[in-house]
Order: sequence, then structure tokens, then C-alpha cells
Amino acid sequence: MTPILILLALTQKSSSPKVFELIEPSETVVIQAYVKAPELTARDRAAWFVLGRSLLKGTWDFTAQKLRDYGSQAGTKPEVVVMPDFMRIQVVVPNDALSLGGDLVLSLLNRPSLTDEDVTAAIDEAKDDRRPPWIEAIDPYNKDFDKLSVNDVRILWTRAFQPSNLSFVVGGRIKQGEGTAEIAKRMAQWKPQRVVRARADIPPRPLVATGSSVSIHYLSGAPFSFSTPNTAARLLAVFALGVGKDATLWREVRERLALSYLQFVLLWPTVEGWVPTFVVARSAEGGEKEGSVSTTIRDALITDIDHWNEESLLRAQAMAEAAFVRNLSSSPIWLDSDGPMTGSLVDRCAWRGYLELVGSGTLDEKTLLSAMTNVDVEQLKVAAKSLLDECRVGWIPGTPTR
Amino acid sequence: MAGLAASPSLDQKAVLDNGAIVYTANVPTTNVFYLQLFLAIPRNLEGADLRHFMEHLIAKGQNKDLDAKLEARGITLTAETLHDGVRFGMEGPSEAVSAAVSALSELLVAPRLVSEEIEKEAKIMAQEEIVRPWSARLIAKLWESAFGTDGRDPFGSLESVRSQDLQALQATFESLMSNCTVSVSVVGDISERPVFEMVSNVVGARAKPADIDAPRVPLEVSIEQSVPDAKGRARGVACESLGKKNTLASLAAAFGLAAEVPGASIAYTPGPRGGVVAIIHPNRSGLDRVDTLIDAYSDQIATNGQATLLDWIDGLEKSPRERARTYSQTLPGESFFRIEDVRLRASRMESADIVSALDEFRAGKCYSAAGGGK
Repeated sequence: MTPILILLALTQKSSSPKVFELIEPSETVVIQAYVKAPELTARDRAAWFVLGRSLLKGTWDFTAQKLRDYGSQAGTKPEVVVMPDFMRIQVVVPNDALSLGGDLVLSLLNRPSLTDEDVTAAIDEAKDDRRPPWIEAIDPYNKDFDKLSVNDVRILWTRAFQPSNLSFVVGGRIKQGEGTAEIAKRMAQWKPQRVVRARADIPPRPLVATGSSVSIHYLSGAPFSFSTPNTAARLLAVFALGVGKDATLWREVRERLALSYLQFVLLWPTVEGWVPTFVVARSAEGGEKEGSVSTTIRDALITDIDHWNEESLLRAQAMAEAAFVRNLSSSPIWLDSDGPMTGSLVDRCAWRGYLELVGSGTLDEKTLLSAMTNVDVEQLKVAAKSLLDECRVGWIPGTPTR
Repeated sequence: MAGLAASPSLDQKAVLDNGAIVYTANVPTTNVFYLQLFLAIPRNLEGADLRHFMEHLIAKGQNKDLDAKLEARGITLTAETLHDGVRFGMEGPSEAVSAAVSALSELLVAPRLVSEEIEKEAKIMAQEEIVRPWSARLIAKLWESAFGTDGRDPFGSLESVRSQDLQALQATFESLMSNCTVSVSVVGDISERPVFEMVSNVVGARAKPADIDAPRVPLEVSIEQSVPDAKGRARGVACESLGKKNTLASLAAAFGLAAEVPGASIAYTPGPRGGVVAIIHPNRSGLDRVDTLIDAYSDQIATNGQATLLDWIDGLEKSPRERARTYSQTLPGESFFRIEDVRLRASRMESADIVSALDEFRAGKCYSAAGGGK
């Protein structure tokens, strides 16, 4: 009998979501839940976005107002961040309200109302919500909200919001094990949802126009995480190529070629790892020649690498340190689509949560910076060229103004 | 100590003999410094609409290698043009603060112009124009409504750039730079006294400019202005500088309203000689409920708005970056401006003051701009 009981215990334990604790002195406690998206069709992509918007409109336990009131006591409203392949649901509560935070998060995950009215409102809001074209272009797939039904959103919830897709981070002034215990207690009450099969649909369709007078040219690389070999050199190459006004991207694309005012590099977080993405926004010109600008950009970046020297290396290392230690405003380390990571408790929890999502485990910034100081010029050049060679080069045209 | 009108004590501003303002404050354990340089350039000076273009060129440094020198030390340089002048920001590791102070001398002189560079930079500015956020376009329109030519868009005019020859442009830049008042704030993990002296030596050597600027006078409210290449809607009111009671009341009102309208946010564009407080929304219909909210909940909105305002002011004090920015954008006449005094004034405001300010955000009473898009 005993071996069977042990097997059952292991099975139960392995279906419990992982909980990671970040214990540090703070007046608040941050609770973040991560939900991995299942494979998404074209319709699902829109539904995923709407689902994120719908959650905060109310659950079976808390109205939207109550979610806002209870969840804002620490000065930060509850938030749902929707990325193309994962979602982050977050509540920040005062120190002594961990239990309330647990209630709120688990209610959002397991018992959202998703009423007809709420989801319809979320669809309407999503249609109006237009981020700048240089952000939309980073995830260059269409989201067709017009073809979406309320049921599509509910069905996606049943598929995605399963314990096996979840992980958690609890950060702040908590005792060791307290966050884990709180989540485990709630998960024991989890009401499983029957997974409903979605309607047949086509794969996601690429974005074919920005819908503005801005064209976006991009280079999108291969995803990597901190468990990928050669991470330090690769990461340093991102800084050398694209971070700062003495980086290749600025010097070549803006200063020498005068192609753009706005150009930047970011590490776009996906469940496969960070995708190094170079973005250049410029006025739409129309015509066949415009498409070749992306290639011109890539060629300019590659050519510049041959001129790198010890100064280029030292500058990249200095910029990397600025990003990890001093919250550099042009840091390429993004945890979502809102911009670079900062030093806040919320972002440090999100860093932890994201690393676990991609299977990197814990990573100390000091270790990473130290590894980057051990990269030499030749290694940097090789990593940069390799990174660019792997890039998919593309553009999303805007509409020229007359 | 050359050019010092009054000996400063720690965490205070000093006004030098030539009108330059220097502020330093030590915030230990951050291991970072934030330096803000503000060049207050009178808006009625000839060529003032070229400030933005000038900012692009100054930021490169005298030998076009300023960013390379700074970034090698882990220092980043940002630049922006505001309604009352040009602001440069540097931040970096504490041990590199002297490199940042040395760089000030490159930012205090007119750039040396080369014609190929002018055309190239004009192209880049044209690209900048197309990526301007919709909110910035709406706010620029509110400023024009509120202050007319005194509220001209600091983005400036590319036609002005292209219409001048090299010599005339150089002369204009020399004039703008010699007629500006300089203000420098350095906040962070620094040794205050040596940093103060270094900064004073750099900025104290300049000749004193004539003070030819004056406070802005708001115009009568006009009909809503349309902004074709923007979206959403903005409602704004004119205000004075940050420390004034009417500005604080308007801010509290705007904070309170923005909290009640999902999707709304506040935009505060200060100017030492007058600014604008606005609520903005990405949808044209997003602010339609404002008047109804004021009718029904003015007391509650005022209370909540005041609490948010106090939190915001606390943020200015606590964040070394924001503190440096706030202190850099004051005038010689406000040398005793202190954020904690502003907070005290804000906390002592009566609800009636904020309710009265709320009233000014009603349709037809405030300046309004709407995007031509959806």
C-alpha cells in the first residue's frame, strides 16, 4: 500500500504550481501569477488579449470596484499584463494583508466572472487600444477583434488557466515558506474547469501594415535565456550594438544615414527566452525601395562590428552595468511591453517570475555582470555577428502622408 | 569661491553673481548621481523657435564625441526642449560625477555649425515629428490656446532652420546661449561641497544675461481646437509655477478627476513662467463624463485628488532624479523654493480651493483639444 500512497503524493505535488519567494524588507507584499498561453490560433490571439482585459472587471467573489479598492490599499492597482505567450496577474497589498492578496489573485485566476457584458466591453476597449506602432510591431501579428465572440474568450480561459500552466512569485516582507503556504492553501481549493475545445481556426496572420504614417523596420533574433551557452557575450553584444548614443545602431542608422529619430533595441520576453529585437521607426515613404531599408540597416550594423575595439567593449560593459545597477532608461531588459525593467520590488519579482518561466532559474545580476567583464573584444565581435546572422529582417509598412 | 552671492549650506540652492543657480543634495547609499542642466532661454528672443534644433546639436558636444566620452564612464546624456528652455540630464555612477560636471562646459556654448550636419539634423528632426506621441500634440495645442504665441510649440519649425544661412544660424545660436540663465542641480551619492564648487566654477564664469522674460498671461478660453494628427481629447487649465497655490489646486483637481475616469491620465507641463495642467484620454469621448462627475462627486474627488497630489510631491522629494529635475527648473527669483514647502502648502489646501479648481475643468471653461483620429 505504501508505495502507491507515495506515488500519489508525488503526483499531487508535481501538479502544484511552483511558487518562488523573494524575501526582502518592504512595506508591501507583491503576489504575481504567471499563466503560459496554450498554442494560439488567429482568433485566440485576439481572445488572449481580451481575456487579460476582462479579468479585472470582476470575479464571482469580488466586483470590479472591490478588486480595485481591496487591491489598491498599498497604492498600486491590481494589474494584468498580457504578453503574446504569457500573462502576469499581479496584486500588491500591505505587509499584513498577504492572505487578502492570495484571495484576490486566486479569485482572478479561478473565478473570473467573464459575463457577457464584461467581455463585450473588454472587446470594445481592445479595439480602441492602440499602442504606438513601434510597440505593436514587436509582436507583428494581427488581432482581429471583430470576429471574436464572448464564448471564444471563455473557452480560452478554460484551456489556459489550468494549474499546470501556472507559477507564482511572492515578494516582500514575508517569512520563509509563508508565500508558498498561502498559495498552496488556495490551490487546494482550486475548482478544476472542464477544458472546452475551441472552434477551428487559422494560424495567426502577420501584421501587414502599421495603420499609421510610420513604417517599422526590424531585426528579430533567436531567443535566448541565461541557460543558453555564451549568454554573457550575446547579452553584451546587444548593448554594444544598440544601447546608448555611441552604440552602433544610433551612430550608423541615425547619425550617419539619418534614417530615423527613433531606433532602439530590446530583449522581448517570450516563453522561449528573450528575443533580441532591433526596431527602427521612420516615416512611411511607399514604393518598393522602402523595403530595402531593413537590409541597409542590418548591413550597416554588421559592417560597423569590424571597427570595434577595446573602447567599444568597455563602453558596452559600462552600459550593461548602468542597466543592471542603475535602472538605465534605455535598458534593453524588458519584462513586458511597458518598457525597461526598473529596480522596484514589483519588477524584481517579475524578473524572478520570468526567469522561472523560461527555465533559467535564479540569476544574480552581479554574477551576470562579472561574466560580461570576462568577454574580450574578439568574443564580442563573434557574438554580435552571430546574433545578427540569426536575425529575421522585416518591415511593416505605414501609409505615406501626402 | 568665485562668483558666489551667498554661501550655501547643505541641500540648498545658491544664486551666483551672474544669476546662475546651483543646487546640490547628497542622497547617500544610492551610488548614483543625477545632474540636470536647464538653460532658461527667453521665448521672446529672436530665434527662440530654433531652440529645439540647437539642442540636437549642442548635445553632441563641441567635437561630436560627447556621448562616447560619457558612456565610457557609464554616464548617459539626455536632452529635451521645453517651453521655457532646454534641459540636459546626465546620470551615472557616483565616482564619475566630476566627468559629468566637466562635460557641462561643452553644453554651455553654442555648437559649431557645419552645413552638411544641419541638413542631416533637419532630416532627423523631421523623423522626430512623425513619432511624436498623440498626447504631446494635444498638449502643444492646449498651450497655444492658453498662451497664444507665448505658448508656441517648443518643437519648433524646420522651415526656420532651412531658411537661414550658416552664418545667420550660428549668430542666432550664439545669441540664444549668451542670453540664457543657467541652472544646475546635482542630486545623489555625492560629496556636496566639492561638487558645488566644481559646478560653480563652470557656470559662474559666464556673463550675466539680461532678464527679458516675463510671466505668461493666459488668454480667454476659445472653442475646442482640433489636432489632425493626434487622437483622444485633452482638457487643460493654465497655471503658474509649481509652488503656487493655484497650480497645486489644479493639480489636485486633475489627479482626482483622472482617478475617476478609466483610461484618463494627467499631463503637467510646467514652466517657471506659467504652465498647463491637463487631463487627457486616448478616446475622444473619454472625458465626456467629467462635468457629471464634478456635479455629483466634487468633494470626494477633491479629497482623493489632494491625497494623490501629496503622494506625487513625496515622489519628487524621494526620487533623486525627479528632485534634480524639479530644482533645475526654477528661476533666480525662486531661489528659496523647496519641495517640502510645496508639500506643506499642498497639505494645507482647503477642499473648497480644489473644488473651485475642479470647476475650471468643465467643458467651455477650460482649454480643450481633440484629436482628428478616432
